[in-house]
Amino acid sequence: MVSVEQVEGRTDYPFLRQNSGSDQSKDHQVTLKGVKIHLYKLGIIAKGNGACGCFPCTATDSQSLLDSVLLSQWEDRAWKGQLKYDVTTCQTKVINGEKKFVVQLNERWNSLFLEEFENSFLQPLGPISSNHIKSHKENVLFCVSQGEKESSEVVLSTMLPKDGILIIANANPVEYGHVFLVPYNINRLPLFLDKKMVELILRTAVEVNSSSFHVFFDSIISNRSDHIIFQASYFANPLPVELFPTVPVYADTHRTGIHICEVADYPLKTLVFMSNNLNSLSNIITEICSNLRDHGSAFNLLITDCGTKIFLFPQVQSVIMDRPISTWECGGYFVYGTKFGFDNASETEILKRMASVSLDDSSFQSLKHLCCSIAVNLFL
Amino acid sequence: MGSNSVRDRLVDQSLTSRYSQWVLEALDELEDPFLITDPAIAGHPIVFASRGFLAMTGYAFGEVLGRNGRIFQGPATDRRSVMEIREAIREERTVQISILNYRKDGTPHWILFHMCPIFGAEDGRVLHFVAVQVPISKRRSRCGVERCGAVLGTCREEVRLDKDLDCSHHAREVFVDMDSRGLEAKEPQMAGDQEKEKAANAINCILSALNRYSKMTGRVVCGKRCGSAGSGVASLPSSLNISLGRIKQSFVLTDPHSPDMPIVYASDAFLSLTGYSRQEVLGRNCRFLNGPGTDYEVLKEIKKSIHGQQSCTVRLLNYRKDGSSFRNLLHISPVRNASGKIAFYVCVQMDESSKNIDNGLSPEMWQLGAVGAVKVAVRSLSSSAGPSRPSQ
Repeated sequence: MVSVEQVEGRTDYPFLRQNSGSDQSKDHQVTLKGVKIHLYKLGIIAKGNGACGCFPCTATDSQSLLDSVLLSQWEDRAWKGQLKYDVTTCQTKVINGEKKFVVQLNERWNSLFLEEFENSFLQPLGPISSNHIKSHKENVLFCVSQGEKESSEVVLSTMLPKDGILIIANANPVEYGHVFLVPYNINRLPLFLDKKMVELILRTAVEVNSSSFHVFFDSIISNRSDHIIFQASYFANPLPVELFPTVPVYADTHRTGIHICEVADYPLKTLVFMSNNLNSLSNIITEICSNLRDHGSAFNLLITDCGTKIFLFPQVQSVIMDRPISTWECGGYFVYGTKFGFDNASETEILKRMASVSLDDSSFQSLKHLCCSIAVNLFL
Repeated sequence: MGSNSVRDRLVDQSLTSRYSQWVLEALDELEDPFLITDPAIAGHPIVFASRGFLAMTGYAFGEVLGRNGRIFQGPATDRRSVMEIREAIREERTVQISILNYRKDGTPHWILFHMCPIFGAEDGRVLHFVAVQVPISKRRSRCGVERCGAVLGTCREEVRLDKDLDCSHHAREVFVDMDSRGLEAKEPQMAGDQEKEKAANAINCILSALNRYSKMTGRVVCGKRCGSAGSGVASLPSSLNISLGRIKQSFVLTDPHSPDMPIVYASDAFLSLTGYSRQEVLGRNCRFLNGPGTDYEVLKEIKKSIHGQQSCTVRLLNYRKDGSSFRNLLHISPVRNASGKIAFYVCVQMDESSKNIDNGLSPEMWQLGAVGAVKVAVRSLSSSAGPSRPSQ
């Protein structure tokens, strides 16, 4: 039930005049008044086969606009001292061994940062309201949403659109530029990884157009709250998993443009989905992830190569670890909170940790079958 | 006008300034297809393409000069191979892989790509990358259908067994695709010994030509990194050069570990803004931009921030090479590498009178965007790749 009168006939709230049929949204309409935010409006991609029209990490010869916006806002908060620490002061090194895992010494590391963010920023129920934004005003960097023009544009200090992705600085970063990406819709709670959301996340990665930009998703965390939270950070060197050889599992170059491979010689059984066709990629990932969630399976997603490559790390409950591993850990990047741990980090120990959360051969085989049959049946 | 023609000139002179004009003739005599690229120019462009290469791909010289090598990649090019090449560039080493490239008319073809860096003998810096591209002759794919079957084996069985999935139609479509002629080119072709030998020979010929002609200018090159850390300005790894080349704002990197904090990198936009050439600024402290109207208090503030390893934004009057002045909105920030130690300071300049930001960003955002990009790029360097050993 929409009550337009409450908005006092202001013409700048056209997006609120919609039927939503829920009391919740009626409350939320008025609470979004007065929230000003920087907005990045994505240009419209030509309808057709849904191809995003760019090659993986074309890394055009200049920094993209979205990259500038994100980095500038992050650097601004870092400079103003709104982050708990300067992550670039943390020492990193490559561990001896053939896997070339990377470890970081971060004595200020807060392994509960995600849970704390969830608790402080997101209410247990209800779509995003302006209370969310006001409480975290300093660290909300900007918002990404679909625009109406052909080319993308930046609008400073404007109204929050009815749906989009909030980009929020992580005060406990794992690397430079670590942000939360929180998809939202003022009218309803997000459904688990629906296609539109995945597409918007992929489009953001495509638009940032930086080979350093990595997007993460931990399904385990998302199961606990009603909100879907993605994260992203800049790793200028590829994560170790990106350098491992792959074995092809499925390829359909003509219809969907999807290639599925398995990562070889890696302690955690991993699949990689690649496609230049954004529509195909978001379709297949959404379906596979829904399927996994329906079966109660935990997994992590790593999006690289400017939104054209997605690593799927399925995880099982480990017998030696008390918590699931985060996505960058799946990728081979580990943070140690103590100098002792950092100095004594060894490839053997890390291999054991990763292997303990990995699927076994037969489960992985089933997963491959599942992915192939979803791919074959993919409706575009 | 402006930085574009400067860049064009850099591309044109990239080889002749190092190896003398006669090198072009010598390279023209070599039959094999190859490219030479210059990582120090923004965009890592092609500075030379052999006649053999142009014949093989159907391009004209002017169509590839100044472009980046990715223009020869296409939809079916294996992304892993692209990444391997990128990694080899980043690590400044040789790479030899089979990769699918595209000719000007859009047809794909398999080549053996053999690339190696050329180092300056006196400072160990990578000056150019030479990439030989030997076409791989089509073999009877002994695999053909079976290979497709093997690749899709896992799914094919599943598809047949699971009656609920009405996908046999689609499955057949996929197999048909894999069998079609258009895809034959996309079957990975492995290079044989013959091709590998051809590539190695070609590289040697090019290398010896470059070495011979470099002696004429007195600035010798070699195929292996000889000495490093010579006198004068320390050199940046080519991967950092390439990353920094993507940043369009005016900025410089200075080295706090060398005496008098010299400039070790200057963006094209900085040179445009100040009117100096790259040779005129590298190795010098930024103070040459100051002049009679520069506020001494502001300079003290800058010094204080740097001493405290803090970032700062200041406004001061600076001077171009021709003596004209401009109000400079200057942001300075320490930049750390993978070891966590400060490797450089980045100084981003903006002429306050010019209204040239048309992308919707505020001047501060535009500057900080450059700072962030520099920090991401430098964070990838381990301390040994930095110009000198940090003392902290």
